[in-house]
Amino acid sequence: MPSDVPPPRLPLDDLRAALADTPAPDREALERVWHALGEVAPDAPAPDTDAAWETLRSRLGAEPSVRPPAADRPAADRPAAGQRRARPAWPVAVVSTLTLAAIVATVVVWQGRPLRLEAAPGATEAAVLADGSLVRLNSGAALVVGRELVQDGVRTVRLEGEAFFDVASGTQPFVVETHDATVEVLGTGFNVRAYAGEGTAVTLEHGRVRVESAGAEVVLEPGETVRVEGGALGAAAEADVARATAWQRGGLVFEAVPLAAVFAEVERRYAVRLDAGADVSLDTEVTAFYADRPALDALLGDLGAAAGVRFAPTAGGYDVRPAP
Amino acid sequence: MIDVLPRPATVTPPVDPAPLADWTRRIRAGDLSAFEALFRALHAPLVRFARTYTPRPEAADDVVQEAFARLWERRDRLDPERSVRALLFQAVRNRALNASRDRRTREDLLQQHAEAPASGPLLPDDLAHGETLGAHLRRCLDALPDRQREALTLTRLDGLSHAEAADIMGCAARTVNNHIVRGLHTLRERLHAFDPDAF
Repeated sequence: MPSDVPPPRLPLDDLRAALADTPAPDREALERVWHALGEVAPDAPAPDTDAAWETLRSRLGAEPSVRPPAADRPAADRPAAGQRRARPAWPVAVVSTLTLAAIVATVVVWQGRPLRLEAAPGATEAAVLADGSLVRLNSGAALVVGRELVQDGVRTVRLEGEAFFDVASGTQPFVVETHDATVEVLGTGFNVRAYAGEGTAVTLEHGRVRVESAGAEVVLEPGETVRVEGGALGAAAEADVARATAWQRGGLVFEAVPLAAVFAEVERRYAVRLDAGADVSLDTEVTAFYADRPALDALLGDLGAAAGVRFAPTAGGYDVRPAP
Repeated sequence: MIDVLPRPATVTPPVDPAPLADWTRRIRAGDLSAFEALFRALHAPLVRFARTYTPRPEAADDVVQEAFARLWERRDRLDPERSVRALLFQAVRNRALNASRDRRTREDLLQQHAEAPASGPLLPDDLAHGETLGAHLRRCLDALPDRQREALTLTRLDGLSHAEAADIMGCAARTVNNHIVRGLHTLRERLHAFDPDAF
């Protein structure tokens, strides 16, 4: 298939694009450095690829060595999705009583009528649904449950924002709908992040889930994440689950996140307003990680240093200006 | 077959994209020989890459073995449209970061990434007489801030595109470009000290 063969692209093309804004004399010097890097001495010792392959091969020993090529078969013939769907879908989920006790102060028990549970800015909420499933909502998120949790044989909830689900086992599938994706639960503990303007990110802690968007679907296994961006479902990728769920302990994670999105998150989590002046560059990327909830002063101090801005207190929050 | 394009002599040829896509399709169909070809092509670069995150060589080996084993176990889910090379580098990076969490806290690691501390500039006195350009480059590269070294290693030494590197590093391609340009500036200063005539 010709579409599988991308046009050959030299690494130098990418470099020249990266250097497009660099003045010419510097650009030539940096290109020379780049070429010289090809001479770099390898680190020692060299990896033993032969031995590693033998180890791996014996580990995969039971596998048939070659199966008929399937590249040209129609997609429907491929085993991937269908096979997985047919497996028993209900590993048991146990919500530990410890977990429940810890959050009991904010638990809302669903009482058989339509429910819209919202976590106000600065707060998180938790709900136990009629089937015993636990839902924890991050700040600014909302969970909508119909009069009956079970609709047409499917436990269905709707999510705006971010939540962690620990789904009770049951015979009926459990489905979370977001603005651009449907997450079908095949197992149990998973995080969905679907704030307006962000797409949807699903991270699986344990069990299995199926994520569908615009006709495509991905089945996640524990430790994996998948994103829906611009309406398109990505591929499953390895995730750092501890980071994806750090918000439940007050943690904050920004990895190369534009300042605009950082501010939106801080506003939701701390219920403050951050008014950025027109001269603040909101696409500056910030990387920061807090395992536990940082004090707002400390957080703003760090963000200021990282992004080159300062925060001036106002009545309802802070004005953001470039640092002098 | 794809014609081999002429490249400047010092450029490490990257693995051609064409065999990778072909291997990916065959691996998805269960072809172990294609998997072996992929393994042999990418094992050494992946181990070297993993070593930059973990001080223990055996941990780097394990991380790479696990990434390949998982790729094979779940070959039916390979996406031929997505770079299998980027997929493996990303898996190795995540696993290596997770593995090293036992030794250093995650905060330290990310802070290091965020703040990019440089170990002080090499002074002319540091330069051992008789050090080759290659050995000198290795020391300078290792002394770069993590993100800059990561971006340069992936693109320059392992031959990945800037878009693939961005995918692996979890940031925008523009950010990869910035890391590369900044890294090259630093290397230029150090190379100038090493050989003022050439740089």
